[in-house]
Amino acid sequence: MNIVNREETVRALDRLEVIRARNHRHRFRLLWLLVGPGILVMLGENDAPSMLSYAATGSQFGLGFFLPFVFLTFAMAFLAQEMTVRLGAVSKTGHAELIYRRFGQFWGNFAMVDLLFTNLLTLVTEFVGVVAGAGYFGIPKWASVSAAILLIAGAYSFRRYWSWERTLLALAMFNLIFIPVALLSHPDWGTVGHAFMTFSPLPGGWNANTVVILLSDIGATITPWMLFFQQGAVSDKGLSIRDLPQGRMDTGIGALLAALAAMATIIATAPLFVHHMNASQFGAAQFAQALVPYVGPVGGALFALGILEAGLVAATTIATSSAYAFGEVRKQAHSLNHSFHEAKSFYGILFVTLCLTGGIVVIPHFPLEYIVLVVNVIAVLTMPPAIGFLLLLANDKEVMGEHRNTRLLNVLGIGVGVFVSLAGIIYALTVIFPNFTL
Amino acid sequence: MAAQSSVEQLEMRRMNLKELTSKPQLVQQVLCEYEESHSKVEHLTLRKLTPGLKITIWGLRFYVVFMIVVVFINVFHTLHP
Repeated sequence: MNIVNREETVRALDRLEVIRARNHRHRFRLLWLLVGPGILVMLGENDAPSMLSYAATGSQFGLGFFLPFVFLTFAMAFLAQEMTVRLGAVSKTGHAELIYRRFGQFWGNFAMVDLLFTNLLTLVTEFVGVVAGAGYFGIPKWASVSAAILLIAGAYSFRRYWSWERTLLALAMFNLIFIPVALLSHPDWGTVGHAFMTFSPLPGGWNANTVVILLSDIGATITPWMLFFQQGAVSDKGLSIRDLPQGRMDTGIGALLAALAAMATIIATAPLFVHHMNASQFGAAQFAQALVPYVGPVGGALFALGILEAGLVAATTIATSSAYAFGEVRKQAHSLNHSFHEAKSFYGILFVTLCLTGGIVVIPHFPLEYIVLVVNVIAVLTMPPAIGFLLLLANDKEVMGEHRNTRLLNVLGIGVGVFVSLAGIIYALTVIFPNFTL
Repeated sequence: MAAQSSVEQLEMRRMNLKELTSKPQLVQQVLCEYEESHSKVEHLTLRKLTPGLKITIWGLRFYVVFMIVVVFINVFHTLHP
């Protein structure tokens, strides 16, 4: 008598649907069944601090260099995330577990410290986004944080990866709410087109502020938690090697949707630049209020809702990436197909981190501005070692076999790593030598 | 892999969780690739790090520590101009 547990049966049920769709050559159904991790990771990365970073970009630089630049950063994110799809589908193992198995506890611990440190900081800023978005509608801090945690807990209560993923996908689609806000700002499409063709103008040129915004926009697109989340989700979803084309499409669609939402936010806030409003210290609610004269009260409300949604979705995906990594390293149950009783530490980590970071936000006079200021910058500065491990794993013959990186992918991957590292070095130079200019 | 391809050839009707629970052999057959990959990962040992690789990983680690210090300097200057 063969004994299988509930987690295996649930995964097999999902896989049977995939096999049926493939056998019947239902291409769209097959794609529908297999999309998820890629769209979630990309729209999840369009989180509250990221959307605020794009809003700051639009309000300080208008329509110019940063529009195509943001598109470029999503292309780089696609490159990195495609490797996690292959790693997850081939090894059926999470990113943290592979790092520990191949590089040992010493280097694994470093990767985990980077991940958990940046995740905790980022989670705080997600709740700052939730509070700011809800605050626009007069909802008090404690109520918005409690409702957010309850809503997230509700999404985990299905005890099925599939149901959790579909719920979150539906919520993540609200990230596209920034597109109507952009349209309401009546942008000059000629200027938008010119910016894409010429990567210009860049008002003020290259100074310390430009470098911080540049780094912040990179950090808004490429961060360590994305690698751990997508590989964990691909493995939890049960993607097989045959599903790789759909996994890549999932990541590509996610990158495209996220890039559209990001560019829409820059376009929506560009009127603040045109009307010379100093928005360098704006929070989410202030942006929404400042935009009302240009996008109307509906546009302002949509902007605030968008920030709220961005914080909510990212809080879920980032907390899940921590829980996946923790479960993999501790060799404990770490699947969303498990019940709470079967995976107490997995769900425990999820809720402890959510309650802790949500709780910090409601503490009166807590210096949240410190965290909001640095979160994207720290995320991008911890990225080079993460890209290093990613490339080493994606080239590991014992793990990947015939699916390891091609030479072209390695050149592009190393290019992303060098680009991110150089951006960090330029940032350091502008901090250490304030008069430094490029 | 052979078992997996035989699963892909099957024409299966839609099932619910309860029904599938009573067919453990089918579950194992469907998850064959999953189990094979898992057992392969279970047998992985530590990768040998060449001196060049060690220098690169240490360099990236120092990069992160240095940058975190830079970030704190920047935050201090921003909030106490």
